Amino acid sequence: METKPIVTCHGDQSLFSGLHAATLHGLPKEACEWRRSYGRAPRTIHLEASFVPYDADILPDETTKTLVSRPYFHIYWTDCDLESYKQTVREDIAEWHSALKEANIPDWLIVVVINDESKIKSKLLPRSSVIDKVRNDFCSKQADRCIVLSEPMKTDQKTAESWYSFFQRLRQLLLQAFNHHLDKYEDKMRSLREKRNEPGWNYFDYFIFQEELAFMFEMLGLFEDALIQYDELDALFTQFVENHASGDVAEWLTSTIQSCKSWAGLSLYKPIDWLKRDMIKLNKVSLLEFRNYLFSRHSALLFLMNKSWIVAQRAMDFLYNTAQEIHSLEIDIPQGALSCWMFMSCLEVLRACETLPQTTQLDRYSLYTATLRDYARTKLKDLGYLCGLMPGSKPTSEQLSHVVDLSAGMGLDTGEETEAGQVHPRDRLREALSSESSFKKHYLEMCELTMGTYKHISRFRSARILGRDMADFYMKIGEPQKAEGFLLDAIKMYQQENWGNLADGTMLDLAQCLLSMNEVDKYFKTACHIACSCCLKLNDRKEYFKEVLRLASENEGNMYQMRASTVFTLEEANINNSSVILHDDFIVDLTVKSNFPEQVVCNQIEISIIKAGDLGTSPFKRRTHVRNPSLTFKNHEHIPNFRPITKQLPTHIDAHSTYERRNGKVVSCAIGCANAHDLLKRCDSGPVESEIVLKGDYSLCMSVANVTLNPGCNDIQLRVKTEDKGVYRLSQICYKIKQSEFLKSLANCDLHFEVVCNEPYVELKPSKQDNFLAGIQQDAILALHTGSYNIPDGSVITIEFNGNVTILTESGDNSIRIGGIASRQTVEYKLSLYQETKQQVKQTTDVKMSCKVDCWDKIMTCNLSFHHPFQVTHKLHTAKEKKYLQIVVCGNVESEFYLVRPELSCLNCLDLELIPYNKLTQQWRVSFDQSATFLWMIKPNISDLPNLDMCFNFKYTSTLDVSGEQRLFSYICQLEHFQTQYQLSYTVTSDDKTCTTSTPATLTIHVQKAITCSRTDHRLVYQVSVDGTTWALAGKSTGVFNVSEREYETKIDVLPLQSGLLHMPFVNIHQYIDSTDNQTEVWVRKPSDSDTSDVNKPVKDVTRFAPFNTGEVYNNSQCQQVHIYPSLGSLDSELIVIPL
Amino acid sequence: MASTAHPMAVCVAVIAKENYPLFIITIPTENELKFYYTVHTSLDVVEEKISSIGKNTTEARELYLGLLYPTEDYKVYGYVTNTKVKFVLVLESTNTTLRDNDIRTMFKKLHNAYVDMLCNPFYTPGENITSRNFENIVTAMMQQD
Amino acid sequence: MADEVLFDFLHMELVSYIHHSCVKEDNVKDTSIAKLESTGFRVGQSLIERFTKDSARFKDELDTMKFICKEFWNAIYKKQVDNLRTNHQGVYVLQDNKFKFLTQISNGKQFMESAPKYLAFPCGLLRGALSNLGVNCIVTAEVSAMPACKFQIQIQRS
Repeated sequence: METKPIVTCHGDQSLFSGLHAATLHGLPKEACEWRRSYGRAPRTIHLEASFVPYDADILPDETTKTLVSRPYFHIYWTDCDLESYKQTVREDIAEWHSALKEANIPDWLIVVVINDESKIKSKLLPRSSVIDKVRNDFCSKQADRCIVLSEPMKTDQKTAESWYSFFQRLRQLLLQAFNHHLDKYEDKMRSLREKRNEPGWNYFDYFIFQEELAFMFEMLGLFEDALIQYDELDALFTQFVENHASGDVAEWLTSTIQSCKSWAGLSLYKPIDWLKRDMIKLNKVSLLEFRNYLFSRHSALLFLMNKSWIVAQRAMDFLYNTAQEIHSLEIDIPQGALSCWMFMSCLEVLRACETLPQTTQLDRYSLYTATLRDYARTKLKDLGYLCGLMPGSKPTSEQLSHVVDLSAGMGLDTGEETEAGQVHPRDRLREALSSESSFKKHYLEMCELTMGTYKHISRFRSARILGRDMADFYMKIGEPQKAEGFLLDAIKMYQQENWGNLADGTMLDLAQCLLSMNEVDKYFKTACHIACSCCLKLNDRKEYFKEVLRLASENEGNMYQMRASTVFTLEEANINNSSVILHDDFIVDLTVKSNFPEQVVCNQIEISIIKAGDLGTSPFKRRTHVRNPSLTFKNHEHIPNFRPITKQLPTHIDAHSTYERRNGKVVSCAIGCANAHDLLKRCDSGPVESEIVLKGDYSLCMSVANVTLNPGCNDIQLRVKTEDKGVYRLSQICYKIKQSEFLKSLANCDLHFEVVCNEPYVELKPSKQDNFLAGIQQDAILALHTGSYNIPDGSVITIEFNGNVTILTESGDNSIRIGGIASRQTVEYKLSLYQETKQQVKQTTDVKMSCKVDCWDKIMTCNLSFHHPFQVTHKLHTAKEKKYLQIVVCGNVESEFYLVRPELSCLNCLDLELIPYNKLTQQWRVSFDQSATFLWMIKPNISDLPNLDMCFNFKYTSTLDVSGEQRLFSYICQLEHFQTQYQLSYTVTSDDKTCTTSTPATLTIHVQKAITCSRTDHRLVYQVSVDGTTWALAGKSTGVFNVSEREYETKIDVLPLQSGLLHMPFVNIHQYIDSTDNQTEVWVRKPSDSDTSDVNKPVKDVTRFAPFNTGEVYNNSQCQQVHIYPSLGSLDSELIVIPL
Repeated sequence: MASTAHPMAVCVAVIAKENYPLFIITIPTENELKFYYTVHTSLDVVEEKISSIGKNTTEARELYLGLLYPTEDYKVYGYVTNTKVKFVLVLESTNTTLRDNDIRTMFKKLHNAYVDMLCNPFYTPGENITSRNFENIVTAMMQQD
Repeated sequence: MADEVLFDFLHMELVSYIHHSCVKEDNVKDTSIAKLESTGFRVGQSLIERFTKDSARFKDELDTMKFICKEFWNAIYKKQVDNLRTNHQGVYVLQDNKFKFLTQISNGKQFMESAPKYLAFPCGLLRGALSNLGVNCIVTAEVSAMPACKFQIQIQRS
């Protein structure tokens, strides 16, 4: 508002004109505080005024309603001196003053300007100055109604002070004037308002009245107060409308709510639309027009306050509420007119906001302008539908005339409503509605703008919804390519945010779009998605399912390939046997979930198999794979500026306790998380799985054909025959429906299996007993395991042994003719084995059997062991010069053998007689726990027998022997140097009849040459060995002697140390060896004086001897004992005192 | 003349903190999806409001967000708990009987029902809400007159 | 009075039960700590929903932590956290000089081997509460002299 409060100036006009500029500029320089009544907050205000010359006619009276244009204040300027004051000025002032008084105006001020201080000061007598006079005359009661302004032209300190106090006074009085008037006005207004429910009250009159106040505030620069007035008016009106709508009719409203003939949009160009205001005064305004006006006033004030974004903010509410009011008041308005109005108003607001200088609140703008644009867009769309301007529909004549009607009511172009170069919203709308093409152009333009704004303020979801709308439009105008992009964006976002319903709902649109673009491949994929979506209606799904089948069968020569994850999911894969024998079937059990709404027949389901590298020693961990839903494919492409909430950390983390120990004691403990670092890492989008999936290598695969998959889980089994050894893993699964394939990689399932090749082998087992026995013919069974190989018909197995084993097969030799045998078979053959018995030291003999099948290169070996049934030993016994040979046959095995006809013969000498002591015709039974003993006496016919080779043989049978023969067993032994050469006897005697301890006794050794002695060298050595505790030897323990004559005797002193029956010291004789002979050393006793010490000390001595063979020396006194009596009073006896 | 048989709310939604729907129920209409779209779009406004509250500390930091945005037919109100769970109520525009306080009460009821449901050990946070108890409370809220 | 110990006893039994059942099952690794922690997690999520039902919205992360230290701790352990430190880069350390579950166990280093068991559930409680408030984090605990213990919260950077 350009107007300022009017202040009239009377008096010396020329004076005033000089001071006019200064006063005009000086007044608003400083702000003053204006305190209002009713506890309102004080306002800081810069007062301005426009100074006009005084005219008695323009003095307002009580009834004047205007606030703005009335003169508020009256100043009388004079700089006269006392003389002229008395003469002319006083009367002038009096006239002026009385006029003011008559008009009841208390707001005036007399300013006495003193131009020259010096004039006054020079007077000697302090006469009353002009100001005193004035004061006396006019301001007796109010001293502040006159003021002195001294030397206003100068620029010194005093002048400045004077000006300052002048202005202060002026401001103060002005405010008083305002208060006075405004209070009165407000009171009036209030009382007017109170009457609002009385009949005859007219809101619009009241409106004008209160608006005046708003104007006043606006003039004063108190925009907030002005705004408050309008808000109050707004609320009041709204209340009336509400009441009216609910039945409480207000008379004055009736003309407002008549049929609406004009729906011109908002106009914010001019701050005050005076024309409109006049119409309001006359109550000739429609609801729309009134609302337009009110909002425009609001906006004007907000623009002045530099809060233009609030205009944008309030605009939406304004539009909605007005629409609401129109609706509730049931105002008759042509269809579409309201939309026009809204469209134009939106654009007007946008235009107004944009024309203002860009401030820092640009962001806040965008927030509201985006919604405004969007709203305008939707309104335009509605109009498009209404007027048949949407693509694809031709406007009927009705619609065309409707457009004309709408256009007519849009208001007239006054030419003052826009700045140069800008298109008025009305024109824009007219243009848009003029034809289909221009509609399209405008509509798309609006859409793009809105989308841009939404993205700018990061309202992506709104942008996506708008995109969907635009896609719809593009489809209509036949540009589905553009629509596709929008739809895909929307789907991606919905999927990222997990709004399945919306994503799939949009997919329906996408499907239509792709179909019209004839992008069959993508359409197919989309149709699959839709058919498998759990969020859509069953009818839609079934429809698209039919489409899928149709496309799959129509696709000639081509193959649709896509990921299986939406259509078929592999819930579980089970390998029961991960180690398969070659040529066996490898089986995998699958549970496949079909998401199709109906049954579908898969022409083929295949799994490709790839030979994996050597897994090393780690066993196969996974035999079952269960689907983990989070691993299914999801597109996580990064949309700039759009940050969906990051995934939370997993609910279960690997917490564990840790301990810190010092000196074995726990000093502190903690709970930590092992992979904390990984979990806390920023989870930026990792490597994105590529959308494209290729069919792998199916050269090696397992498949099953014509499987019917029902919706839900299905169990399928696939099998394949293994052909080659190795480790394999399952690589990819492919579901084939007619000409479409759904692929899924199984790489992360980690399913492996191994094909092993079983080698053939043979086993030989005795049929009736546990072990093979040598010496009998027994039945055996040869088991041939073919492993993974086949044996053709007519093959021959040849069996060989490395030991002395005879084998008898059914064909009579060591080969078996076999028929064709398949792999993994075991066939048994009968044969019999015989191994000769020999005298062995060991109880068992190990034999290796090797079988060779003539068609194979391989030789199969098998180890056997034969147990010997007998263990034969011999022993020579001597009695003086007679010799006996004892042969013991021990059984080795549990089975019983029967011995008959034992025979002993000497092989190399016939000069003896072998006299058996057994009854030779009986049968001996020999087994594990029973042995047979045979004794013969060897009776020589000559005195000197050579070394004898004896042969003992017998015949044996066994029930185990298949042949039932009596078999021969021979045992050969040698007897060397066995004839008795000497006879040895010795005694211990004492001089007394008895021997007592500690009494020396005599050991008499007597050696006699035997008859059968054949030695020539009769030099012998005797050796006495004593146990140091029983006997003490006093004499030589060894001695050499010669028995050339028949006998030899020697005596040695011995001392018995113990009493009782003691064995005599052991005496033995040996051969004497010359020291020159190269004989091995033998331990000898030192031939020194006997003493009890060092008796057993082995010493190398000259005396050497060699022992005799068994049987060559017959010891008559062996094991004889002698009774030693304890000596009386011997210290050796122990006295044991037993206390009673 | 406003009809007296208006349900209080036409759509109630509970949105998880990752912005996916935990629970949406609408009055049966032909095109239920449009409510879903409305709710989803209102998340934009919700996020704006939450982020702006952080900057402006003098504003009352209450959980109720007020009217998010009006459309011609509906008014959408929002409420965000401290655990970033969002409740969205969609009311018909013609329903003028409901005051702001009434809406606050409705949200409080919703919040209480949600907290009770969360304490059910058979419910895993983040899953869709299937509790019949909760559903009953919400339906009662929608039909009550 | 008596209500204060109800939770103590329940917790003790919980620890004992899970420990024994874990020892029977897995002889490979001791998963009792992880189980207790995830139990606490679930409880923390629900608890925090209830506690923050009527409070004003949190301004920022620090505000959230203060709530945890004061109201949350108070409601559960009947006392507040004694000291909260942060490096302003996502690591917070809460120090409780008289942690409720440890006060009755010992007053120094005795029975230190058993202390982690009793801290697993509180760690999970804290993690669950914070995660439901939108703060993704890992909570660890440390005891060097009972009954004082420190909980360290590492927040995921975004």
